Amino acid sequence: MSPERFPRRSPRWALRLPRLLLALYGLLGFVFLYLPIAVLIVFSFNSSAVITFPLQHFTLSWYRELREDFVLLGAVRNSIVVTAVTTVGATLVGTAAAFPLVRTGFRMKRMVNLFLLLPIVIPGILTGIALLILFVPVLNLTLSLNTVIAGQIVLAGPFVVLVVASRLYGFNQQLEAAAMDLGATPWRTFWHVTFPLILPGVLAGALITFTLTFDEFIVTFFTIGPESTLPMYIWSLVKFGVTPKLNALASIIVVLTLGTLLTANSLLRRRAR
Amino acid sequence: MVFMALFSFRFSEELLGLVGRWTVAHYVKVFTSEGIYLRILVKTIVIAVVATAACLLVGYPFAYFIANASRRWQSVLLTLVIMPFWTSYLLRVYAWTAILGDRGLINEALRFFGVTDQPLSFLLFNVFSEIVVFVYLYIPYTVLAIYASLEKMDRSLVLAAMDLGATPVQTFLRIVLPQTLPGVYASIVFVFIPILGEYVTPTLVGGMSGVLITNLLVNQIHALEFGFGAAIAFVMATFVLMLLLGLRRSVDLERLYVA
Repeated sequence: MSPERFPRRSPRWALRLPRLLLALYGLLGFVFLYLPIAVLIVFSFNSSAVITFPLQHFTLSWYRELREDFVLLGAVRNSIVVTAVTTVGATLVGTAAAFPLVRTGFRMKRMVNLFLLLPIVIPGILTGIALLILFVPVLNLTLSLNTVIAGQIVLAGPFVVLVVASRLYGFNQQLEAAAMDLGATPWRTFWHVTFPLILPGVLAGALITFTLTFDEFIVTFFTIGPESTLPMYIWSLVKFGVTPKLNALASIIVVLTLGTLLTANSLLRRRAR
Repeated sequence: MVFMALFSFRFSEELLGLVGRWTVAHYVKVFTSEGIYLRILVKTIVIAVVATAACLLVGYPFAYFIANASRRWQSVLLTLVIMPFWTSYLLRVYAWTAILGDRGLINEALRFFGVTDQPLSFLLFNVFSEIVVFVYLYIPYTVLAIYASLEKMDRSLVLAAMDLGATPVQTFLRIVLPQTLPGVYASIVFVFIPILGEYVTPTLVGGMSGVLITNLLVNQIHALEFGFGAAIAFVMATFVLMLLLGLRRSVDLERLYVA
């Protein structure tokens, strides 16, 4: 909407004003989004054990305490294990499930698709309770990290199906036919033709699963046994409100995330060049 | 295929929680028992509606701001909108107690500038703080959904409307808004439905007055009242399903997620 197209009745600033207000609004929006994170970072350096103002003096002791907290380190280790296994599992199952959904036509396909999407749309708390009831009274399992992993795969799998399926929809199946015509075995065709083409979808699915699972709380909350994952550990402290260590932890996570994003970004740029 | 089995389970097993005796007593309890469960369920829905509306109202101009930025800036701004998702969800909710509390950022700032001498205690542990945090948590979805539909919009229609003498308000209501309705629907799916299932926020910042259906639900599960818990869960799931089926006419869910 360039202002030049309109007869100039109002002075320039009057035309600029809406844009200025909009920019100000956008700025406020980002303040809103980042204020809580900023607060966490500030308090991670504050000597008081509770997060109330005014600030006390500067300290690094919370970061030091993090290093010596064995419960926390154990929880982080559990989280890494759960996330890794879930990522592999959900990616495999999701990719495998995407093929019949896209390639074969069967009745009720729409219905199946809808059901597949449900765990994504339905609030996690319902999925969690459903899984708990499935695991405990119905299947008689003991809750452990294994049930957590199973639950996380159910939760993340549909995301993998979606991204892989969208890749498969835009897939030229004649390429596979050509490979077979040229004498490739189905196995070779898969690894040399099909797989490279769907790889971006598979990787995206794995990435989604990873980020989803590492911070997942509510389904884990219902499916976990005596062990602890990082979100469960955070929950146990947050409920009682004394969390200076957690502020330090959150700050580290922010820095790591930011670092990863920036590196990924610059790597991508370099590759683009 | 493994999935299918799992998912068909997901819905039957909520009923299976009731085996032993097949009974509808749990459902009767949800809808009667002095009306408390029904009342809280309705309250949850009302709060979710208010929070979703607030997300749309606050998020729409924000999305407009991003869509109006230059190409280069757009990708930066969008990344910034998504970034908070990568920090701990629990801690982001928790941080609000440090902002809204009696000795939190807002109250201390107000006192510092001499606006108040008593802390404003209505800021935290009630429905207000609950809604603020809901908006905070879910507004990125609204912004992304509306941004996506603003991006797809044919800008020349806006110019045409203005050329034909429409006021900015008319242009917005009759040209821009209808074209971004898919984004609005999408944000209902991504904002309203998850809020119905929010447990952490009412627990951490909702206080006594902010108790939602999920709190009652988790209490039942912790009391090992699986049958009754499952009944509440199933009522909620049915509500969500009906909503989705209702929305199916206006939004293509699969499209929504793949995009």
